[in-house]
Amino acid sequence: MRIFLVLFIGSVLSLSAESQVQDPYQKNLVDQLKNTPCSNQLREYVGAKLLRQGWVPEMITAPRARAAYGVSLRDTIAQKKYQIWSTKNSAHFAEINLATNQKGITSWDNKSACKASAIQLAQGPFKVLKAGFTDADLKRTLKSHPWGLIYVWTPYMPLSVEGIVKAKEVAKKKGAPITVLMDPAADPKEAQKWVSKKKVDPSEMRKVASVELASRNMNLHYPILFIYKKQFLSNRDFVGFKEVSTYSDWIDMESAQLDKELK
Amino acid sequence: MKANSIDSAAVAGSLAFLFSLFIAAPGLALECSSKDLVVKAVYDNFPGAGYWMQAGGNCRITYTSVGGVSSAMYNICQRQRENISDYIDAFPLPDGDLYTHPGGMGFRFYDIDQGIEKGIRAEATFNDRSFLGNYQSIGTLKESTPQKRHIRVAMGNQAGMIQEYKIEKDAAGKTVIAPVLTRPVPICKNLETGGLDTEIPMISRDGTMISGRNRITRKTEIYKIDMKTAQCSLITTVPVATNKVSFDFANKNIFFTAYDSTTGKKRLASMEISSGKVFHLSGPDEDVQYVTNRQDGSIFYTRANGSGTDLVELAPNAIAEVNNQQKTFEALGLLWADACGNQDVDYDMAFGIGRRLDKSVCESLLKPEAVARLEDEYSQVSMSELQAVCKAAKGNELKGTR
Repeated sequence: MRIFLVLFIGSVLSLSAESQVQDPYQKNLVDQLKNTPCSNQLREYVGAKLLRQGWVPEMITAPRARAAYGVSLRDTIAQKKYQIWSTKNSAHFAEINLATNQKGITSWDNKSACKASAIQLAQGPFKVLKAGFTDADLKRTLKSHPWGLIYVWTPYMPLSVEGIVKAKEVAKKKGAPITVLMDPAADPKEAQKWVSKKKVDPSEMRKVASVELASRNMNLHYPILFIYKKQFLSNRDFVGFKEVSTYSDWIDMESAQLDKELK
Repeated sequence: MKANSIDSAAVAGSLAFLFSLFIAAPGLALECSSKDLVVKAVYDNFPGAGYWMQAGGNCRITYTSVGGVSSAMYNICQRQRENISDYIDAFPLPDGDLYTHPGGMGFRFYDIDQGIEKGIRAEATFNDRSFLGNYQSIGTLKESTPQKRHIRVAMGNQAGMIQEYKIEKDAAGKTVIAPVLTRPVPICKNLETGGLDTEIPMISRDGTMISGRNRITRKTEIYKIDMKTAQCSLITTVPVATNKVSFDFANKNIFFTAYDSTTGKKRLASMEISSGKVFHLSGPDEDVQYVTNRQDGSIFYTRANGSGTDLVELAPNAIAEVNNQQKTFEALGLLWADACGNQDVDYDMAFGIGRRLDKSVCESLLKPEAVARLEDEYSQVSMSELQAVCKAAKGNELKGTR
């Protein structure tokens, strides 16, 4: 009896401990999905492995429909994008094949006992630029190194110019390759003025032409730093001018988080 | 005589014909672009992108960087750039007489006329060397008067750390500025995440609220600041990632850009703080870069124009109030989309378009057969409701002139 009690108490304590150290990103997603209609069916369909990833908020629009505020995940390894969103009575999960632009949407409606229904449609990506750092370049970069950093600056935000040297310094400290790119909307003449001031190297004027990068809220704020690991480009970005120590802490944290999510 | 009669009749006939054309087609042709939306002014080929714009006084807009300088200023009254001191992140006070620069040298106040005249050689009116950082924002506390201002400054990259200043004129008319708090105060450390982010905190125009991005959910949140405890309590959450938001001067709404993952463009959006309702406000051809609010209620936003940037000015009250007429405005926006053959417009964008339609464009859309073709959910919207909204709509001063 005593042994049973010890084992029982031990398992309760360990469960409590486990829930206390639950990943905050996962907890956030679980909390959001709790209030979703047909939550169980949605979660079972999406699967634990996918739900463990780093989803980010996204506004999802469609012609002649109401905008939805859900979450999305872009997977550069599987070449897929996923979206989850809900309305008052229904939940939806979309899987987009980024190579073929085919989008499959599975929906559950609590008015029909949460029975799944599915549709397929074509959804092409928007265009960025023809020339610059393309998706092919990004793919090559992700494959070429076990991990690395991508920093995007704009000539219209001086702190993003000042931050280049900080990002390069932290990359050097960490032994990580860093790709420095420019805002696709930047006027090269404006960028050249920073080159003339020797704040920017001419090689750092290469514009982002990658849909994958441009799809990550890239132009909400510059500078923006991305981390990639094992060919996976994290969905979580780091915006704003930072000191080297702040970048270093974020890289350590983000790298550890990616290790957990990519298991 | 006969010839003159024929000539007169011909002239009269031509005039009548032209007049009938005007009557038959009231207003101007559809542009099927943002030109059908009411604006007060468009400053074409605005120099720079207008990031982090702030309005100072009636004529000036400061923003970050153009031409390799760290801060820029545009005079909308004269439609030209003006010099300003070449330090980062110029942020004017709303009255426009002073502006600030943050940075490692200290938090500095400058007289606007001096800044324009002397640029980087301008001397700071006041420098608080104990308040360092960047990404500052400024609110004016309600007890302020034009003669005695009390402002609250939040330093964004210090997670919203706050200092306050009193700004007065002495007997000689000289501006005197003094810090109020003995030292800058870190705020919002009570949050589950440990504090605000270090990128986008923006204080409200009255200094009582602050925005920040939640590091875990990655959504922008609006908090009420309690300066007695330095703690923050959540008021509302924006459902998407945003750039730095702009509070309006009524402190009732925030304005921001929201990224549309389907088109890759950014939309102009607002959120009513009390209800959490989000409103989309830009047209399908607009890729909005940044937005700010002026003290008089005007809204300014920059948008890409293919080769550069336009600065758009909306007059106070240019956007129609909603007043439980969401369906009516949506219907108008969809009528516009249908008339333009644009099937990609969603209901939220249609709502915004409906609220901003030029009066003559609005009225030209009200054809019974077009209304009848709308989706079933708009079947309760009557023609008289649509007509009433169009009647109240503003006219676009720029229509036909660009």
